Amino acid sequence: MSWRGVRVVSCAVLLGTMPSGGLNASVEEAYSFAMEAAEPHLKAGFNIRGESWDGQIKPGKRKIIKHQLFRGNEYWFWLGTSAAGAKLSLKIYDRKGRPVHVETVVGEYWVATRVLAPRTGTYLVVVGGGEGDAEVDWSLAYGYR
Amino acid sequence: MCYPTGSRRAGPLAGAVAALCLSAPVGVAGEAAPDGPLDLADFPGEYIDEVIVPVPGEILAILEKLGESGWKSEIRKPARVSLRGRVDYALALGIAVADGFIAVQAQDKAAVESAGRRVLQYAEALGLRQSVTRHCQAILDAGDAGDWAGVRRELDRTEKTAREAMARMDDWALATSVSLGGWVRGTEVASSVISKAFTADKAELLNQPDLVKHFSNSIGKMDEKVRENPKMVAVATALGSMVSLMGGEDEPVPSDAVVEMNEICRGVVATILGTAEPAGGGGGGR
Repeated sequence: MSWRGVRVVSCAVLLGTMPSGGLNASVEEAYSFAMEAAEPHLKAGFNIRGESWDGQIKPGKRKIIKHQLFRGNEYWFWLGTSAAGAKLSLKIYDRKGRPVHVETVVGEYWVATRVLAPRTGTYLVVVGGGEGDAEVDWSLAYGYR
Repeated sequence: MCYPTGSRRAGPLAGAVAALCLSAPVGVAGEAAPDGPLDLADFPGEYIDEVIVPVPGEILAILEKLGESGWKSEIRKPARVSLRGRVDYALALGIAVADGFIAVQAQDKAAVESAGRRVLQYAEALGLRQSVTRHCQAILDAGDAGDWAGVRRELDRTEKTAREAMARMDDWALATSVSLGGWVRGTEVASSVISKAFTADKAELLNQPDLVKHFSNSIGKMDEKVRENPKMVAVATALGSMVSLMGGEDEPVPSDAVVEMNEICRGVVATILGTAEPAGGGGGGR
């Protein structure tokens, strides 16, 4: 196992959340990188949800997830990929298309976005395919406090 | 393509590998969101069907921030339940998990233990004992230690593990039933707490029409045998009433609607657990 592989798996083990069997290795790795992004926020008291979304995305394409958020909670969404430099994007909009993400942090294998929902309701979480030629895997998790 | 993932507990290596995790890439902290509005009428993208249902803890945490503290009175008293089939047990499993979140809010160790044991009992009835035992033990251990964050985490994982196990058996209706049971019980408690000291801010938390429509659609797609289970009929009827009480996405939920939502949810929980007659009446379990 590469040093990078050791590191990402270690983070997922540390956080006690790792995809179970049945997923391909790259998606597991993507999830591990999402957890790497999550680590400082979990230490800061965010509760991570056990559920996550995963898949593959082509450059320039977008995946849209409708998600219920509650005003009064602070959220972090963590998007990981096993593809170095894939430059995936992660943005959150309200039902009228107005951006509600207030902070974005970018790593080599992940992007994290903080949200303060202005109202309780349904929001659109948009995962954007980045650069390059190939389809890449992604895994998205979130936490709240 | 999108699919759910599972979870594993932290192993004995967790402490030893902590230092490795500290070598995470350094991010660009504090980057302001530079984006303008999204034109939804001209926005090509693939919608992902999978809806992740909020756990009760997500709402209850906000109510706590707003000063609510009377959680002990929301803990369900032990009662003889009547469950007759897999749908009944799946719905009850969701309720038991929600009861665990309520017990955490109340910081009541005995209630956490009670919820944990019921989770295990219902999971066993569903043939999921092997999948969830480790989570249930972790719930009991964390509750005993007063590690409330740990209990929350394990409750979430329990529900996820159970739903995944059902999905692996191609029984998404049962997996949805777990979410339904948890959502109804969580909404019962949230609406109870809000109705006792109503404010529009608190009531806004109950404005979840899209989630209710998602549940209604899911029930509509279930196998006829499941859909016509009297308890599922009661849930579906309740959802229909709830969505009209919630009003529109941007409309406030009035106080009388909160009271009514509470009565509806309380009735459905009683129906699911068999402490009340199902509205649909008669019939056996699946």
